[in-house]
Amino acid sequence: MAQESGFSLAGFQNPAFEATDVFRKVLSVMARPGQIETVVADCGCPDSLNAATAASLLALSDMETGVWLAPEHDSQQARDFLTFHAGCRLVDGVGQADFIVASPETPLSVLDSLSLGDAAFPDRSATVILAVTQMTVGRGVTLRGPGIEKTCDLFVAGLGSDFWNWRAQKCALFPRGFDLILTSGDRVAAIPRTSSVEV
Amino acid sequence: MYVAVKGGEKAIKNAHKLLAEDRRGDTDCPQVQAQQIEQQLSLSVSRVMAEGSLYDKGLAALAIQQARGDLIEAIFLIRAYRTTLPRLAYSKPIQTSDMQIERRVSATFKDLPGGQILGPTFDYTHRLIDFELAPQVAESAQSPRDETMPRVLDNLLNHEGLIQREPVPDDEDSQEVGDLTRESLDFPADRDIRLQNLARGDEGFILSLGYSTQRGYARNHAFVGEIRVGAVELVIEPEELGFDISIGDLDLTECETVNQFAGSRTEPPQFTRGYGLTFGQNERKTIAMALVDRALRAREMGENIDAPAQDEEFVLAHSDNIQASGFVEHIKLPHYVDFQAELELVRRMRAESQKSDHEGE
Repeated sequence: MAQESGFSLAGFQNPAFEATDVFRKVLSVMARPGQIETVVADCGCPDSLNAATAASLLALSDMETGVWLAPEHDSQQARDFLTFHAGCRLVDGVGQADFIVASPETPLSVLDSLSLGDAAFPDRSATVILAVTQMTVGRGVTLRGPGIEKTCDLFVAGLGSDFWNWRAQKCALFPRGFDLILTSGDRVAAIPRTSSVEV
Repeated sequence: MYVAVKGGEKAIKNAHKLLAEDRRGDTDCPQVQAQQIEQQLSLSVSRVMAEGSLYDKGLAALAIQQARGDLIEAIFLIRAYRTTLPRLAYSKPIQTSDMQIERRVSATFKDLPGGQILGPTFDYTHRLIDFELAPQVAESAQSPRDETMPRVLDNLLNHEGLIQREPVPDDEDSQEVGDLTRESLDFPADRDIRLQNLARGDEGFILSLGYSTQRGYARNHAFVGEIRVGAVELVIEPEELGFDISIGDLDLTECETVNQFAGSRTEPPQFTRGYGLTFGQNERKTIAMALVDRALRAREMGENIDAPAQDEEFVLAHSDNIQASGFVEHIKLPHYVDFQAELELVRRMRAESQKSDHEGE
């Protein structure tokens, strides 16, 4: 049987409520770095994205946002799904993207040109959605900063000190930097630029 | 001692109730319908659509009713609603040259091709209150017009090379047009941003600034080259379809002014332009907008900048009546803690100055 096209995947059935719900989940994990939430959205999921990434992109992107898909997340089905349901632009360069969809396998040299915003408009930076195979609260990296009472431990599969050092370097010129959304299956967590990460 | 007052939910609820009662007025008098406002107060509707930056006559009429006729409050309602709307598509540029003309006049040429079309205007009324207005039913005075209407500035003046060509960059089609509703205002602002700001700007503010340019604060003596009022088609071309789809008509008012320009090292003496465009029918706003647009072009024309209307930071940062009324009116809301701090400070300064007076004696 021919593969189902991205157009025929459902998308949000009731966009106002479902997008708000997903948005609330992402907002909540962004406000409490290291906490994990489950995204429940019956929007269909293209072959190259996990459920939480697909739902987050539908909730957060629209025709005015540029989305860059790393090769391992790029597929015709994902492209059709995003352009049809979110209406977003799929951009060729990491530097033009508002949302970057990547994984621990994506070489950091490829991500290196991501937008960090500028001093007057740090909000013009990119948001990185990183799809990982596993994440759990507990032994891994230690997070500190706004939204965390003392410290918070988070284990993220596949991310080594290379990645965390690279992130620290990108976020060193605060308020410039980037915010990170972690997804695994239907679960989502976030590490905003304000968090310090101890490996 | 100045004590903080606790605001009550009940008091706020009662305030809303009183507002609803006052809005309704005397219940012996029939309630006005939004549709009546749309049809019979159409110039209010035009203003609310223009400064609310949302073309929806029915919604603007409803906002006017809800705001009890306070147009700035109605514009506020429209702006708030507008922020909830998703963007679905970008239209192609509208073509005001192809406008279905309802009114079209020129103050520079009497006998212009296509003629002077007065249309519905207050211009030649005597401004006497008409006590017979209520029962009157106007007969339609519409006459069919099929003649093409050349543009005064582009087709007539430009024919002689007397008007400055608009500087259109070669890559205009690939350049994005700025959008104040997406990116915050930054200086220096280019003309696309300036025109958007003026189109959304408060009519009274733009009017007074335009007036100031005529009275000598910017020395730009202007003629109205052309005003046209009418409907233009709004067209989108969905990328996946690749052909044009007309999605409706917009009623617009457009004004182009003709201003003198003494010339520069590279340009011969010629006329220059000011441009105004709004939703609905609003000639006062578009004329004033064109005057201010021309004044704000001082930088590009190499003119001295010494008048308020030429100062883009002053004009663009203060033209928005929602921002302005928000900041002006917010000082009536509780500032108990701020004021407490000032009170402390003044008391301390008084005590200190009294103490030093005593020591000086």
